[in-house]
Amino acid sequence: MAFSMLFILPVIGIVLSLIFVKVDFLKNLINLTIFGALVYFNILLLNSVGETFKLPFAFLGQSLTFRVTYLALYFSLMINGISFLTAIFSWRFMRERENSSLYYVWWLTKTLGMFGVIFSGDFLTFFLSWELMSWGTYFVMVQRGGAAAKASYKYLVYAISSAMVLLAGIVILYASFGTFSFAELSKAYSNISTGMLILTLVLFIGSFSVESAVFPLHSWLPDAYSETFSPMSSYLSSISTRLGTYGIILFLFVIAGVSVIDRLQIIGAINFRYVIGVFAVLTIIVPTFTAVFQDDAKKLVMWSGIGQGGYVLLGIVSGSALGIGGGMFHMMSMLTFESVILLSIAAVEYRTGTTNMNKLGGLIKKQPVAFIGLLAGIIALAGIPPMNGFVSKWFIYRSLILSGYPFLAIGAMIGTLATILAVYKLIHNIFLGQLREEYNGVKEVPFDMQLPIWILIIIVWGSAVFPGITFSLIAKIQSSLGLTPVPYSLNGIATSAGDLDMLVVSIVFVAGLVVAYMVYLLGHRRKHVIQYDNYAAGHFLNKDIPYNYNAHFYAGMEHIFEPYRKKIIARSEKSLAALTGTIGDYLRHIYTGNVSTYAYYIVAAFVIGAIVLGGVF
Amino acid sequence: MSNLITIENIVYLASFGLILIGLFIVFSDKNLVKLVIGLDIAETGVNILLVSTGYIQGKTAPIFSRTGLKASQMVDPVPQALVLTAIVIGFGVTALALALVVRLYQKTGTLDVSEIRGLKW
Amino acid sequence: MVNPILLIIIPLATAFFIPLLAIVWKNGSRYLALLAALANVLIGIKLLPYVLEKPIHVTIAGFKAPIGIDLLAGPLGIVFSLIISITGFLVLIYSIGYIRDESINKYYTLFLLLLTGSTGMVLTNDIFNLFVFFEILCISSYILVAYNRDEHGLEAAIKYLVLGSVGSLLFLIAIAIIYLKLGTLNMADISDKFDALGGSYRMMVVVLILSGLGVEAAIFPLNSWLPDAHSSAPSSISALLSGFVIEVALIVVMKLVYSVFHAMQVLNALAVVGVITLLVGEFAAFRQENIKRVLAYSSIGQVGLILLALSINSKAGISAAVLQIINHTASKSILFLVSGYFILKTGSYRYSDYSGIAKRMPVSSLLFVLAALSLIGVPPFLGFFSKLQIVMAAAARGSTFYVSLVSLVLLGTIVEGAYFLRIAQVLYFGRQQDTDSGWLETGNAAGIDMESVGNAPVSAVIPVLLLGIVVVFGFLFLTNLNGVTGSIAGEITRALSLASLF
Repeated sequence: MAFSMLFILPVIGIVLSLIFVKVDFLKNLINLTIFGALVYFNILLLNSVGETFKLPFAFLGQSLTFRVTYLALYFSLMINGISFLTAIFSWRFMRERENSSLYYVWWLTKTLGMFGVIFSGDFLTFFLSWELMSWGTYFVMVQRGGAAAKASYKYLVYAISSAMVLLAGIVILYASFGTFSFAELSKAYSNISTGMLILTLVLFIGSFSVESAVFPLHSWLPDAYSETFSPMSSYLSSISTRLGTYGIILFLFVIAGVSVIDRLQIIGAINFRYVIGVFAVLTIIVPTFTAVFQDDAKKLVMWSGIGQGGYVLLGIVSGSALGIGGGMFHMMSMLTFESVILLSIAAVEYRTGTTNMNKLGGLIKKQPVAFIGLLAGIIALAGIPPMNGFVSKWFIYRSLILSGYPFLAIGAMIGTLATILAVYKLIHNIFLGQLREEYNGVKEVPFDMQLPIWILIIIVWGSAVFPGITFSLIAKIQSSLGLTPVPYSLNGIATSAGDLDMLVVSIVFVAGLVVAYMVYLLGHRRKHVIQYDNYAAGHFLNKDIPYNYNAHFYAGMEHIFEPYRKKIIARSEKSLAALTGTIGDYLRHIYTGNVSTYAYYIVAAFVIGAIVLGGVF
Repeated sequence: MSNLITIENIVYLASFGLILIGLFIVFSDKNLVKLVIGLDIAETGVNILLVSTGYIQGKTAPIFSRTGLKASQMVDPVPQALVLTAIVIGFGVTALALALVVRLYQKTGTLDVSEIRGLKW
Repeated sequence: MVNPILLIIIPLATAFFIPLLAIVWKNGSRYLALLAALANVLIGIKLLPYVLEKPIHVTIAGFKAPIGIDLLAGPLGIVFSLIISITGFLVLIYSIGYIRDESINKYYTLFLLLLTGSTGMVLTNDIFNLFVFFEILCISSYILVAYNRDEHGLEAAIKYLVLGSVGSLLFLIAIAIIYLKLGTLNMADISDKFDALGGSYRMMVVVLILSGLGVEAAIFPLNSWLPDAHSSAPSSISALLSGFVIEVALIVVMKLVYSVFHAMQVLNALAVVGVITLLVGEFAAFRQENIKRVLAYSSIGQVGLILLALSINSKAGISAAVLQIINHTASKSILFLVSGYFILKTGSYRYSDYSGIAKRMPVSSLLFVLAALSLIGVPPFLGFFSKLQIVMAAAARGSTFYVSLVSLVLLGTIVEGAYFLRIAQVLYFGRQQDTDSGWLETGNAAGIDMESVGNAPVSAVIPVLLLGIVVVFGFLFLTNLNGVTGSIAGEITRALSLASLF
């Protein structure tokens, strides 16, 4: 019942949204109810782990099967939770936006596809849902038109390619083992040949790397995600990419199994997981440094979000209980902090109409809630206590060092440096500095838009103080996948390898803040000034002198990095498109337009056919 | 040697010669009208081949004109029916081709196939 | 039970009656042709349940096979006559609004002859009769391609005619060889005797038929007429030519190869040719700007896919191929019919000039996109299931050869997706400008006044909508469709024999 509701409700929502396409209020109400109901039914579903479901009709002689696992539930809870919060935010934000009449239709289509992906019990269901999800993502992004259309087109080409590679992998598995079912394939993998293992690994991991934006297949993401409507940017960035990671987890742990993959020793201790780890570290470093130079707030977050995805992947491929636990936890952290950052930015956009950081500044007093949301988010993003990003990164670093991958850990830490630079630019350029004249009248967003931000702030902080709540589910996932569960307690972890008590960390942190505030209060050296009462380089500045050092915020650093930013990926994309076009042009020139040549082709085909086929008769 | 020079072989040779000549014209000639003629020649070759398949040496036309003529004394009538159909079709196609050529000449003013390349690639 | 011969007689007789009717009632031909096509649809539907159980064998004029000419209405024959008549019927509805000049009687006469020819091709059991129907089909389509009497149409028609004639020559030589060696023209009889023939004769016959009929079936490199003819014909005729004419020729060729000549040796070569055809078509379409040429190249690509599927030598493959044919017929007809009105309304063949036309022609644009998605193979449209079945059937053969062919098919699909979605985005969001700023330039260069572009008339929208239903909701009837296509596959893979006819 609860399970089928997860699929029936979005369909009802799609139909009703199409019927009431012109009635905004009804459409919003229906969809908010549906997203709320989805959360409810999802929680109900926690009691039916291990159940399997079958669609009543067979297809191609294969039945489409679904199964409820802890892994799937973890993902569906994340999807439904964030959908509900985003839906609350969207209500007012999406009012009277152009090209948004099918907003909920595409969103629910995507949701439906995502549910199919995570609950599927065989590759046929998985692929069908995967396609539904990708097309849902495409339509969610493309609906806004303009620049979004161009960015989505890039995504689409990537997504089709990825889907075709995935299909090739599935078909090869089907051809070899005669089954689509995960359970049976997982049995077959225990004595698979090395060649087949390498081939399928490359096909599946390669295909999922597109959706999870692993370097070097990440370049579609920033534009595509940030050009669409801001609530959807937040939604996509926080959960959509993680479905690719779901595919990787599915293949590594459910289908193939770590022990089988570890048979592939490349050189010495370097195994296949290590190779993925190297890509994960590149995913952390390269996009995060790109993020530092972005001028658009949403794009900056998207670029650093790609990097955060790298941490998730790094944790997962580390293979240890701590690492996988940390990677899984980081998905939840990412979900919340990416979302709270982007919703705060959306709140700013709602009032100011722009996300260009060069045109913003000094909004802290005008939009304090958005500021707090963004602050909480970037603390988590940078992995600073007491927010949930710290917990997950602590786990990931710890596991890397313990498992003997120090180089990967160092790589990941380099990424953190750039993350801090990027997020400082983000909060500074939007909220600090001089307020611009035109934003004098800006007010805080209404309460219904604040609500999701507040909830997310609480989760970002609360899940850090009590990580055990999340880890209780993660440990179950790990046991169900046959891995060692992470040894957790309500407020941290206690192992021989080291302890983490987030309650203590938080108390220390809060105590530190209190002390700092007391010092501040006792100092007697404070004076309230208006934002325009400012000075720079010994000169007083008033509001007639715009003092905008937001533009080219890291000019010096940009100057240093410029020679290394070769845009290799963007250029190779262009070359590939050009190559396809050139091949096409050459092939088109077969059709010369001269009828004599054409007649010659026919007779030549006959002669060649006779020569080739002469041997087989 | 002598058994190679049978009437069948001569007919086959003639028909394939005609087909090749026709196709050669289609390949090499630039004039559209000649191209159509080439097709016609090739078709004649095929028709000869077709009609020859029913030929049996020493038999007569399959018409019950004389009394006492038995079926076993006649050549196979089916290929003759076939070739009649083929000729009619060939005639139709040639007429249509020439009509199209005339129309095209009115439009473009040329019959050179290497110049009639408005559609390519 | 109705006699299947009516499927041929009705359109043929109506075709010749139309000029007579025109003397009294000028526009009557429209409705008479519609009536004839509708009659064919109804007969086809009536016959379908019977033939699924047992093929109907019709002897004509009392001469028994192998002497007389006979028809064999199996599942293949009836299903394809249904495809032909349904598409024909819908395109005839479309033509009511689309064909608006003086000589509509000629148009409808030729149109019905085209239907006659293609229906005859799938029903006949006599190889010379097949040649005759083939010629009826060819000649009527030559003229229809030139129907607009413009320079491009005439040029395309002449090329089509020359190449078609070369193809018929080869076909006719094959018939001559068959008759010379086997003394029979009946396909069942040929099938019985064919294996006894010497290897070189068998090879000659098969290769001649493949390269002769292959011209019409658009197998690479025999398909050079196709982009010209399909893009220069009136759009309604392009829909027919792409929709079923090439498919009919293809399925007939493969029927001959499988059930008459038992030439399974050529299948691997044909599979390779199929994939080459597919890649040439898809890549050639990638940079093409003329919308009808894009669609024509896409047809080449689809023919390649169908040829590959038909060459898999398993029932699953052939069944999937027939499903793909159904999907291609519906989708490509939609695409051509809709683009016909795009061209008519904007006066431009370049798709980049249709920027934002979706606001003006919402239904047409939506169906265009849906049909394109189905051709690419996006679930849940029919095209996804047919493509998946093809891929699975190929993979089920289990050899590296087929797996590598499948990966090339998937590569082609990526290219196909790229160019179709580019067009779709132009329709909805405007022209894409490949500038570094990444912004789109909406509006168009040709200076077409988009405000004046109106909706297509109802007569154009109805057939497109009906075809759209097949594409979008076809998957609901997948089990039934697979049942039908499976019995066609059974018919094709079974060797014909004279004994089984009686």
